[in-house]
Amino acid sequence: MNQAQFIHNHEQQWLLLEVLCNPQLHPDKIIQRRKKEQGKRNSKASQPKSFYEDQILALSTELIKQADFPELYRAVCQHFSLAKSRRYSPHLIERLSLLVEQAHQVFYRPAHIYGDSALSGIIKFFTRTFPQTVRNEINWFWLSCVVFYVPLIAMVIVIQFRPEFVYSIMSPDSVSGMEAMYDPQAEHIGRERGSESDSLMFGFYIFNNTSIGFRTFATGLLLGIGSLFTLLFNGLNIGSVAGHLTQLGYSSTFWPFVVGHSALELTAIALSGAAGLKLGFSILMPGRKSRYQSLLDAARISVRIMGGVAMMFVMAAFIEAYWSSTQFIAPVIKYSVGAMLWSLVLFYFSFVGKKVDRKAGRQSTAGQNES
Amino acid sequence: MNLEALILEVRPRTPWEAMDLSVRLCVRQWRILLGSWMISVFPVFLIISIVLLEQHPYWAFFLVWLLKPLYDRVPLFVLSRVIFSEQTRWQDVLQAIPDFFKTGILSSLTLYRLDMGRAFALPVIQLEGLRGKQRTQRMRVLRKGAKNREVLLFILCIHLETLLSWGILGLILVLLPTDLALKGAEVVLVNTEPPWWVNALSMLMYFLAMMVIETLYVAGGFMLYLNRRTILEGWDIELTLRKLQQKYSDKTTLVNKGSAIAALLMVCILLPFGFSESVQAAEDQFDDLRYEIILPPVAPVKADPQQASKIIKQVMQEPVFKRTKTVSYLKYTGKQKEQKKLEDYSALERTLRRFFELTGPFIAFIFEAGLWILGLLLIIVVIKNWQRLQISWSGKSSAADTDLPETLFGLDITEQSLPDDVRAQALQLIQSHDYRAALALLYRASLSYLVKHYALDLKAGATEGDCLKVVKQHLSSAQEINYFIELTQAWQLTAYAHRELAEQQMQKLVAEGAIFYDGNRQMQEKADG
Amino acid sequence: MLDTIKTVETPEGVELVLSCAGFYVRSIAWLLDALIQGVILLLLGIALPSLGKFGMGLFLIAIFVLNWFYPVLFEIYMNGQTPGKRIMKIQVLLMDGTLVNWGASMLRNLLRTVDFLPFFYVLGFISMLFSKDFRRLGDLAANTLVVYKRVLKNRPEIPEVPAIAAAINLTAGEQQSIVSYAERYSKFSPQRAEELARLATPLLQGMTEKQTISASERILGIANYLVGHR
Repeated sequence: MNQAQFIHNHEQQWLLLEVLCNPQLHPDKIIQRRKKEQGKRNSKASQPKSFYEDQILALSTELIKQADFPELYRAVCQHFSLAKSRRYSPHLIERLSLLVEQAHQVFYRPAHIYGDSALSGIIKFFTRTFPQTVRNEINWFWLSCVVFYVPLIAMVIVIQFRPEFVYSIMSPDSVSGMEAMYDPQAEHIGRERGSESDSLMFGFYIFNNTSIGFRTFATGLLLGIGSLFTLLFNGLNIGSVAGHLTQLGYSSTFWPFVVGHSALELTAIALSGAAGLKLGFSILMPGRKSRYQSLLDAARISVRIMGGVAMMFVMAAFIEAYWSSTQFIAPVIKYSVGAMLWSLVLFYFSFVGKKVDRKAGRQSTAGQNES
Repeated sequence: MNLEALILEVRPRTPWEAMDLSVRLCVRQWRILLGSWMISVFPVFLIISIVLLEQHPYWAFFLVWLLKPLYDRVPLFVLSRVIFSEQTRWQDVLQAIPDFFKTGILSSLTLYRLDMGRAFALPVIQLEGLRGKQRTQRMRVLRKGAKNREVLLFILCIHLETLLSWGILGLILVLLPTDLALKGAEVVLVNTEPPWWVNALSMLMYFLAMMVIETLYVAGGFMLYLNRRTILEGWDIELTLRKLQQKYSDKTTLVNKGSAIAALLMVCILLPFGFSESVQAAEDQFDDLRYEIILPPVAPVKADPQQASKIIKQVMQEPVFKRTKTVSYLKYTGKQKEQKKLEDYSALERTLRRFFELTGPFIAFIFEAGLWILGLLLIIVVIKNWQRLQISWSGKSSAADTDLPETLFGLDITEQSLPDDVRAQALQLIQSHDYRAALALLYRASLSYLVKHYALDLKAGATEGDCLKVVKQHLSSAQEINYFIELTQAWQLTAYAHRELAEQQMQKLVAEGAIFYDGNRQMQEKADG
Repeated sequence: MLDTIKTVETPEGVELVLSCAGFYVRSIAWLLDALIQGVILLLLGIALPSLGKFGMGLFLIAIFVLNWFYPVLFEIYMNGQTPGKRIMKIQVLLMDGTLVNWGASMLRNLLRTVDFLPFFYVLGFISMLFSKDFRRLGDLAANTLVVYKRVLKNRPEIPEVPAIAAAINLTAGEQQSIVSYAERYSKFSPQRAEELARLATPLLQGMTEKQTISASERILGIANYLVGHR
């Protein structure tokens, strides 16, 4: 069969597939667009969406309605292979290859374009995927916790006995700033603010804390060193602030402030570290896989953790800005809310999404069998 | 050397693709490229530094910068050879250096020093050996339709070079201990007259960055040039047609011609220099094939320059090259109206600002209230959908996190797939001597029971061996484990080794299996009852 | 053979040819995106502070979202193209030639931080130099690839001359070359076109000096025959 015959026999299918891939090319739409362009004549005609627009216009709408995408796609794949093996003109091959490429992308499009709605996707992520992934990677989480909490606690304890240690971590300026902020003797205590300033701080916490978390994760790619370093550094830093203020006797203002958001924020930092460590160590210790394959697999899992972590940071920022900063609430209430949040976080990662929903599916099929 | 030695895929590309290909080429050949740069350019740089750096640092930097077109010739020489996988050694580079001064070096250091498309023009100067009017005309032909990508390449490379040379310096400062680095930064940035070692260091950084980026730049220009010629002259077509010619010519001359063709292609590129004898021989053979316009006259000048310029004019009149371009631009038409508007606007803005200043706290309050309400709603939604959270209080198994597999090695182990009375059916199958099916049934029933009862951590891709391992870990009763081992062995023997078991053994397996499939049944009855 | 293309086999057994985009074009796309982000921030920076501290808070959130999610959202909802990539006609794809999903896009853009190290994308630059297909570290981890988005150009006209059957059997590659000669005929100078045609000596056999048609006309004739204009 020569090229002209080949085109004559199959072109209609190609045009149909092109229309199905790109809804803008539906004949009705083309006519609409052209009418619009005629309306404003002085503007120069826009580029046609397809080189074959005129031929598409000749297709009947009925034909397009009946067209079956998978069938057409397979047919055009075959035409493409044929055209290549028969070495038809480069332009024809290019046309078919573009069409196949386009259809391939439509056919194998990712789930966010079709399938689950965004909302149900998000629900599924937070009720199942996220806590399950964290549970599966719990060892990395513990490692990250060790690197993060051990220096934190050590710093708090050390400063009780050697107060000057704080200056080895922080500059005198930031220490005195910190002291001023939480001084219980001060006229207007610490961070009493209106809604407005709270909103400013909300923005700041999202911007600052989440970015730190993301960076903790990303630098894990450097064989885990970046994550280890950031975790360690943050642990020392937070520990020295907490230790210093406690040692000064500012406990009454400091601890009620931080206890609220600490559950979400500290856990989120530790989780970012865990995701980063997993990434880095997948290259160092690939096991039976190649290093690259090991990295790919680890990355796919750790990015899931980061999706959840981002949400945790936003929630922590909300609590920190609007709840922790309030002054009129008694410390007792703040402590109890803090304890509740810690147990909620613990509960979430321990139990949510654990029971596999097998019964629902099986029972319904069993029911069908009986009837 | 033959045609297959060409290490590039010849086809028309977009300018961007050509530039990308040049990067690939540089990376492939980085040893010889950087090596030849070191042996030829480094001495120049060293001499300038020693002579000038201490007394007149600015002149030293200027001179190093000024001589760039001279350095460019080294990577181009190397590249024009390696693309034909021709062995190029450092000695070859050193030998070729005198040639670099023959081809319009003065004009490229003065008149064309600020030409942004330097790398694109270089092959025309260095490899084709064109000068003056010829060069201008040739460049015009090559530049038509090239979309000025060589200028963009230049701008990109300049920035890369600057970033890299600063960056290396910055990196060194970062790696130093803090005190030393601070002092260093102070010396570099604050001092109006920096000590000699600062200059030497920055000179070295400049040189290193230039070595990498200039090579990429020259390669990019070269590849843009080759791509233009591929498009204008149909090199890819020429290659196939030459092969076709080769195929049908006499076998005796085949070898000869093959090398001659390859040599000729070399000629196209390496015109003025590198005339080995074989190349000239090839030239003689294909004398009639000399390119008239596209390839300018070679050493023995045959074409009449006047005639050439006439032909070029003709070519330029052709529709491909002749283009009109509509340029739209903003024209200044007056000032007064706009000023008035601006005043209005700023007044409006002022009122708006005041408005927002007053309402700002209110909006913030609404925002905060909205967030609180959102939070509360979230809590309510979570509580209402408690069931869907799939909470399991058993702290024990992480196995339940993953879905239980419905099939293992192709066997369906869901409950519905099993018959009501496994024992009866198994016995029936044994009687009809279908041991394989009987064993499959027993094995499936056992797995189904185990997976469900013990929530075994079995992945969909597990093998029989994996199952056995997990069973040994999770089951406590020795009787159950032993039975499962026995069953697995029997199944593997039958299914994979195709050995038939004795009927007695089969009966025994059915009898002992009661612990598994009867257990299953009891559970079901409980659920039903 | 040195080339910048990557072939991907689809489940249908068809080979897709993707042309990988290198760092020159990608750095310009990045620059354009940075400009757009800068302009948005500038506009927000003018508008939001009039809301006081609350506005500042929103501004900080905007910086955060623009910094981390601008590329992700565009790549997800504009078929792998940020505005800058759209202008430069490049596109992010997964290694199997399909569109990027949430996980991959998040990953490659979060890991931008590492590519940026130690200063201004040096790690990314090195990674793109030495990885196949010009992939930076984020691309490597996310299994993605940046390619040129191809568009169909106008069909080149084959000059119509009377069709001539070739006297010899041509292989598929040779056929393709001859058709492509005809398609690009108008781009060659006439002298060069004739010269190219003369190279195909086996196809010109039987032609004598006195014949009226030139070699290029003859090859064009064969091309017309091959595409089926008879």
